[in-house]
Amino acid sequence: MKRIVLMVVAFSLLASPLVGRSLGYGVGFYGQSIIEEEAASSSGVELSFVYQPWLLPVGNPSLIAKAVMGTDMTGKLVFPYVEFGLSVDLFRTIHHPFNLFANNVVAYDPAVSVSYHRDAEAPSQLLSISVSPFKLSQKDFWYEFFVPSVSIDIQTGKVASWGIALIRYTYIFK
Amino acid sequence: MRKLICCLLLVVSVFSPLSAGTFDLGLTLGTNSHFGEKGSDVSKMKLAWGVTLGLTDLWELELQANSSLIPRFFGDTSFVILAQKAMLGQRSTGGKVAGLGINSLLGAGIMVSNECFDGEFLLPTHLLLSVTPMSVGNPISCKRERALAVTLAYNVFTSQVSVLFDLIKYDFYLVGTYKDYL
Repeated sequence: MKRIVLMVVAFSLLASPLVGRSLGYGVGFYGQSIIEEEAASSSGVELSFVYQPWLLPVGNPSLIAKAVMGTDMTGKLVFPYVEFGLSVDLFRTIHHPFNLFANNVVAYDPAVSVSYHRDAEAPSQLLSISVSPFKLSQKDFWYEFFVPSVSIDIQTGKVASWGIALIRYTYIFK
Repeated sequence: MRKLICCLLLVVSVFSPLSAGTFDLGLTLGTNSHFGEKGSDVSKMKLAWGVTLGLTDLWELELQANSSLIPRFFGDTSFVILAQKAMLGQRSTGGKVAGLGINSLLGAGIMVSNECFDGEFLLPTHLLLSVTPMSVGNPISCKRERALAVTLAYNVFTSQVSVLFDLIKYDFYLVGTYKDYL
C-alpha cells in the first residue's frame, strides 16, 4: 500500500508540470555553415517546440525540439538537421537596457542550450551548444535575436558546423 | 557656376526638411534575403543594418547595408538606397502628435553591390521597387517595426529580375522622437 501511495505521489509530482502554462512553439530564421563543405551550408526557417515546466527566476530549464528547412548555397531545398535539447535561462530581470525592442516591459533572460544535433546527411553524432544573449520574454512570448551556435562531433571533438538564428519568436500557448 | 547652383540646390533640398521639423533619424537592424538571381549572391541569410532618415511627413530615405552571415560571417555586403513614401498617412507630424502607428511604405531606389565584373568593383547594379505592407510604430514613439518588405530588383548588367525579402526590420529612432517635443 505504501508503495502505491509513493508511486501516486511521485507520479503526481512528475506530472504536475505538464498542466502548467508551459508548452509553446517557435519560428525562427536560421543559418548553418558547414565547415567541411561550404556549398552544403543553408539558411531558412526553423520550427521549434518548447516545454517549460517551471518559471524559476534563476536557472529556469526548458526542453526544446527543433527542425529546420531552408535552401543550400545552390538554391536547393534542404532539411538539414533536427535537434533535441535542454535550454537554461541563466536569470531573469526587468532591469535591463533592451526594453527598446518591445512595446511592453519585457524580461531579459539570456540562455544557454545544449542539444543532440542530428544532421540529415552526416552519420556522425553531434552536440550543439548555443547561446542566446538577447533573449527577451513575456508571459506568453519569447523574442530571441542573434543566437550563435556551434556543433561538435562527439567522437572526434571537432567543430562540424556553426550557425546563427538571426531571430526567433516563441509563443507559449499553454 | 552651374556646379555651385547645383550644390546649393542640393543643400537646400537636403536641409529644408530639417527646418520643417519633420526630420528624424533612426538606426535599422533586421534581416534580408536575396532570391532568384542565378550565378550570384548565394547567401540567403543577411543582416540588414543602416539608417533611416525622415525627410518630410510622408517621405523617408533609407540607407541600408545587407551583410551576408552564411556561409561566411560578414562575407559580402551590398548597399541599398531607397526613397520611400508612407502610403496610409503622415509618418511624423513634426510635433507632439504622433504620426500613424500603422503604415505601409512604397519606394524606389538602387542597390550597390559587387555582383558584376567578378566582384571586383562596387557599382550600382540594381534598380529597386519596394513595398513594405506593414510598419508598426513611428519616430515619435522611438521605434518602428517593418515586416515582410518585398523589393523587386532589376540587375541592369544581366537584365535579371530578382527579389529582396526583408522579413523584419527594427528602427530605433535617435532624432525626431517624443523626447524632442517635451
